[in-house]
Amino acid sequence: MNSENVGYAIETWSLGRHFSRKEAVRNLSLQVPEGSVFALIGPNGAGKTTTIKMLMNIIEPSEGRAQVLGKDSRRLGPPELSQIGYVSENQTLPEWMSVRHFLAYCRPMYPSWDDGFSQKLIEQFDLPLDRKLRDLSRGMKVQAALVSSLAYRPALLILDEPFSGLDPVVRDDLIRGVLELAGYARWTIFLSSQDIEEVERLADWVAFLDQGQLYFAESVSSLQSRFRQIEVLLGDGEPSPRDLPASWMRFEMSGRTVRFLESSYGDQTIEQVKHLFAGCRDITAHAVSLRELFIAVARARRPRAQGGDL
Amino acid sequence: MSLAVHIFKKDIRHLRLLLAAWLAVLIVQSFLAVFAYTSPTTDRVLSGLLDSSSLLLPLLQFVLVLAIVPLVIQDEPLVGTTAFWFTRPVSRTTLLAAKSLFILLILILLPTVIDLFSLVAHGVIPRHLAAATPGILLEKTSAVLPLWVIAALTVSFARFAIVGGLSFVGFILIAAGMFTAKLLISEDLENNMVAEGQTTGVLSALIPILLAASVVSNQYLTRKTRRSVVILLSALFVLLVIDQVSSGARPFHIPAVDRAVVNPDQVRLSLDLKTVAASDAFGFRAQPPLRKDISAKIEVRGMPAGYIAQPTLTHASIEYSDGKKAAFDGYVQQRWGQWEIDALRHALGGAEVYRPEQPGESREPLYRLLRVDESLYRSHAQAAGTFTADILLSASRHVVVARLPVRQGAKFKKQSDYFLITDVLRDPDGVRLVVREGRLELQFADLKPEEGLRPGRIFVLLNSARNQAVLPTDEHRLMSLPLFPGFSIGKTSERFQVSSTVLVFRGLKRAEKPITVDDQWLAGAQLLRLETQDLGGFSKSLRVADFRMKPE
Repeated sequence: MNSENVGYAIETWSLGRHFSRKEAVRNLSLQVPEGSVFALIGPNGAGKTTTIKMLMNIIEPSEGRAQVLGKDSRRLGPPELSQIGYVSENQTLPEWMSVRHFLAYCRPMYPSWDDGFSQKLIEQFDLPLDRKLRDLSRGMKVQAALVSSLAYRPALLILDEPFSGLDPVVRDDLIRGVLELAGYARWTIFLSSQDIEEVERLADWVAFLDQGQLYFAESVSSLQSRFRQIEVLLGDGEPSPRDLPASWMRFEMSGRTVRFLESSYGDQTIEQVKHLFAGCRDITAHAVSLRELFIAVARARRPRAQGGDL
Repeated sequence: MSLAVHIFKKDIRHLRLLLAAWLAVLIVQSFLAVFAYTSPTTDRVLSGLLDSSSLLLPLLQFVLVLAIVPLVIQDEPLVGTTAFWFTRPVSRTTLLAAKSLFILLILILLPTVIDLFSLVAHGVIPRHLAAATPGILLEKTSAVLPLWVIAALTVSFARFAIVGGLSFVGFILIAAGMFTAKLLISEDLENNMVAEGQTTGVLSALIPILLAASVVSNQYLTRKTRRSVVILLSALFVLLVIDQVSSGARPFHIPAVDRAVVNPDQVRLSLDLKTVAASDAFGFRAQPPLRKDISAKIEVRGMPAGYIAQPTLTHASIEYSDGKKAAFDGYVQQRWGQWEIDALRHALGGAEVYRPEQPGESREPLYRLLRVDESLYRSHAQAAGTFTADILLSASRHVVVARLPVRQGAKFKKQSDYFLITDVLRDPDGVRLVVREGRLELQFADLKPEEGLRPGRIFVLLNSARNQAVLPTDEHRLMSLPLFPGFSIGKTSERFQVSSTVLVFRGLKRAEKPITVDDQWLAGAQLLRLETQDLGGFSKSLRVADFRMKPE
């Protein structure tokens, strides 16, 4: 990533956290550009929520450091938190409060609270103001939490798996809502998810975390440009090459057809393939969806030792 | 409006029902304190209701506080990672300020104000109110703070209950264990029991509060629970050490008597060797080797008229020609003897004092002088040994502090204290007087004798015309409860004790000079309250060359 001209809402340097003997996150270094919608994806137990908790100063890192909105994450205080919105499936809301009371309780904490915008959000989500939070459905609770985190127009919005467990209709409403809001101002949105479809709709930057380790963090366009599904129709009797390039993933051979995922697709890729499969009859390269990409990366990484970049 | 006040208001709203119940309990308790204690105590139904309420209301208070403290503290928990406030612009100091405001106003100041109001209603003077206020504040604070500590270190009410319960059980076990260990080390139970008494100092009341506050502050400001637990355990250890050091090491002390009042040089002690008697000693462990207490009548001569010298502490030893010896340092139980009657007579202007004999009581009380092993007693009981003792005597006299006509409603007030006759109940051979006393005790300073009523007192019915005084045949408490039993942890004083006592006066038909307490006698009678004026102590030595533990 070219960091020279871009401001970063979040930066980490070798961030890590261990619990007893288990390393939940290790050596995490990433940069979240301002104004981006940045998705941190990974399977269950990958370390996504731990990462977010370190960024929000809910827990302290065991090693490394992080900066959020230009401030050391360990020193995040009310001035910074008043510019950060946070919604998490793990967060406990004051359930005895009604929605109206809850929003009224949050309001004095934020000098930039916008009543008009808050009202707009309430109408958009159709929230029942007089119902207690504990009597709301899970989706409505997320909506109430979103309103309380958006009404003051934060510079950074952090969403920790906010849509998990929601039915598709509610999820769709919320995603569209977030997208709409992201379009209003140059907000930075940092969200964690294990749902790739959700990420595909929302994110323009993606980082993949697995077993506490970051495998890549880059823009979706960059990912889509360097990953290609390559199909090679081999000639009769042509053997498969012995040494496959390190950038090839999910290599499989079926009859005379070879398929693999190229992670460093460029101008020279086709020539390289032709060179390796001298007798090939046809080479096609297809774009891959993020889903296919992540599955391939996850599977490729699992049996290997800790390695370098893709 | 500051954020701390905003959070405080939120907490009030959240717990409004519980707080309403809390306020109701305080008001009812105050109402009872002000009005119910003035009701006739012979109304058994009302007295029963009052007694029950006096026990139940503090319990209810305690239960409410047990619920309120964790609910208010754990609405913004300090433990765990899912609390709502962690990601909101609420600083830890703001949160601490908000919770402190709640605890201080609702759980400390409010009940303190209500207590003070009740004290005012009972006639406590402003100067004593001011003196009592720190004690009340500290008492409320020391009751609430431990709950705050546990709530701050736990994440939910369930955890709070478990940790609180285990802590309470642990505290009881440790305290019981330490007490048992001390008793096992020192076999002299009486000495141990007496040595446990201590007065409360401001510092000893403040130290636990300051330590608990430091745990709470650390938890709020750092959210490092393990560190807070370490601080807590260290603080408990420090408190335990301070408690053990301060309770065990204090030597018994009586100020020296004023020689202008009692000249110790003119006082002579002697033992009536014919009265020497042995009894099995009470020990904490009922196992051999047993011991024997050796007692005898001590005669005190040379005290001024109306003055009493009671043996209080003895440092005694006995030594035999074969080299065997035994030594003993111990407290001497004070007993009612003829000198008490003589002192009373003097205080009552020479009136004849009629005191019914108590079952098992002798006019010739024996005082414990020595404690020896059973084996020494068996081998040397009738041997002649040299007995020496330094005996500390407490000088005192009885002083009449109040005289009341024998009628319902007669009242005596001394500064903040009072006593009054609530009922006069005639019997065929005497009278029962129900007397209510209200007495203030301050936690940090003892009231001087001239500032109130003393706990040790004697009531006497005196007929001056006939020069006859009657002591009660029986005296039993109808009700004796602190005005504000409340709830508390640790040592606290009962700040205002209200008690009702039934004094039974009967005639004595089998006395040398029979006396009949009839209407005629009562018509000329007054109820007198005498108090013991402590005048200090002095030591006298005794030496008996031919002392036998079992006289021939």
